[in-house]
Amino acid sequence: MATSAAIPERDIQDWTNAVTKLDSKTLAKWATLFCSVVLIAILSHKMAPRVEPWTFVVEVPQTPIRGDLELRSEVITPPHEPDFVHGASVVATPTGLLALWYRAVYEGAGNAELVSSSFDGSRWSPTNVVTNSGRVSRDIGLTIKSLANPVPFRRSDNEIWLFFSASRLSGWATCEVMLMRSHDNGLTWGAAERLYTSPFLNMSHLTKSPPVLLSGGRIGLPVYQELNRKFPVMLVLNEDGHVIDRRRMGHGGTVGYQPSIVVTGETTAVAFVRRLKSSSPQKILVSRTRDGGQSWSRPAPIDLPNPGGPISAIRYDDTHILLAFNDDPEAERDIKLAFSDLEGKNPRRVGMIAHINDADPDDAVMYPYLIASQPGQFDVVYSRPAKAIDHVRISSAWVQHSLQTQSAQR
Amino acid sequence: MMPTIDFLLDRSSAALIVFMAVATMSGIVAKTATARAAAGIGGLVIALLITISKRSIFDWAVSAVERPSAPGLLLLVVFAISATTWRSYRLVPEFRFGTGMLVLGGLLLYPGGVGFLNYDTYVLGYSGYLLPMLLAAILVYAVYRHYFLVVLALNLGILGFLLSAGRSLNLWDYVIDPVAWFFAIGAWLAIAPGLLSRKLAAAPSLAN
Repeated sequence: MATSAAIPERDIQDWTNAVTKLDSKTLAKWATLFCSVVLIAILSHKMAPRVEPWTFVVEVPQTPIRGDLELRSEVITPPHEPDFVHGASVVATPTGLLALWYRAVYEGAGNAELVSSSFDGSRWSPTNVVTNSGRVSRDIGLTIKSLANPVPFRRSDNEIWLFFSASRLSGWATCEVMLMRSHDNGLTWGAAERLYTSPFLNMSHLTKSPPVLLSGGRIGLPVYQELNRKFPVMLVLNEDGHVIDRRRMGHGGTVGYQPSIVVTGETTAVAFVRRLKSSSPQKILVSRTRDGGQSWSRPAPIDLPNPGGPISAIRYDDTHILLAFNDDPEAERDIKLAFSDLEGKNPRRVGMIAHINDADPDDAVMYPYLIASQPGQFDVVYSRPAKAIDHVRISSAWVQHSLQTQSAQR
Repeated sequence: MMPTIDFLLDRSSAALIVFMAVATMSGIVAKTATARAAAGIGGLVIALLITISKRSIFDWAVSAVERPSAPGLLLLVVFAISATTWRSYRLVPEFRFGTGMLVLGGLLLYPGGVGFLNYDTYVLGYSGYLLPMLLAAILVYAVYRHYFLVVLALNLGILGFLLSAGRSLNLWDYVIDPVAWFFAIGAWLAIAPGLLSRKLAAAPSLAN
């Protein structure tokens, strides 16, 4: 008490000021440090890799030999379609089929539309606009230019998810992936949602082929990067349709694009990859995974030609993959079906399902999209540049008959 | 509420870029901060009114640049203030640290994320401890050096990710964006020569 009384009042004031100043500075420092530590702790907890690595859901289709020995084909689009139509896809519905494609004044033009048509087993309905550039712009709050490559995915008995690409500026390299949902088998569609797939302005990922099911209700959506260098990617979506992971396919480098994934086991799958126009050999490429899609091998050519067009592949039975492809290294002059084993090897042609009109030098048959709509029944939709979308129905009886005919000829 | 915030966030990068571009260019004739700010706002209005292919210039910019991350938004605000006041932040250590971290973060993320490299670093933002630990290290250093704006920006980004406030489920998208990266590179292109010349000037005197 006597000591403090001896300290001059000015010194006490200086000391008090210094302590106050130190306290506020230190307090701020410790407060921000505390907040940061708490946030990092919660962040680390949230990002802990506690979820089991995904595996593929294996669906081995039963393929009884049934159906017509003749192919059945129709033009889906109206006669004298004035607009550019391309990127067709199809999904089975309780009443038949639902085909979807995109339509615009020219490829990549603004005010594009995604349109659909349903098939009741005998005829295709008039086209119905699913959405267009304006509606997607309103849905997402950003102006987009064009739409492309609708890919339907059956999520449940009545629910169809529709993935598609939307370009924000000019050119497909500015595309991002969108998702729309229908809860009534494609009669009506909800608002478009954006999938976040890329760190670079969420640009330059496009759809082409249908997703595969993963464990835990997750979905593997094959897409591809367009900007800089084209390469295939598998996006992993959660049950709600949000991207929760992604895996680059093809082991790096410039390797091709538009992968079509076929699941062959819980941890194994093959992806048929479209070659780049500039690459050689002019053959279909195949990338494989043995760890549930965590890593994919460098695409290797198989003994089927590829003019630089997409391939559509599905599981046929317990030992075969069925693929639709252009059987020409130079041009998309025909579409054939072929079998391969579950490694994507030992391809064997089944037969031709579409061919160009030889009298028309500009004709081509492009972008086949193959599905198994029923056991032993297959449907392919494809485009003719650029004014028509066609459909071919193939039966397992035709497939087997074609194979037997070839064997007999040999 | 969220649609409004989304709407504003989606347009914030484009608005700030147009504003700072016009404000900077107006510096040739506009001598006061008020005049440059007015020019920036005028530029925004013009960008909204002029249309190219049925879309306003501003809409094109919005579609091109996406929404910013939290640090990216802060950096653009700093640049907008700088364009208006003509005050340079190049010598401010916190600015140099923040932009330096963005440059390094972008170098870590984008070459792999867009396919220049074979390893995809974007996946580090979905799960795992590596990215949180990197952020922790940056935060600790920033707190130690009293870089409270850097801490604030990073913490806001992390909080946004934890609350799933954005549309992405990837942590990277909350702490860095390409626009911020390009601006940070630009800042360091201006900072580096001065820093280098000072180091070189200091070297002989140290030797003596």
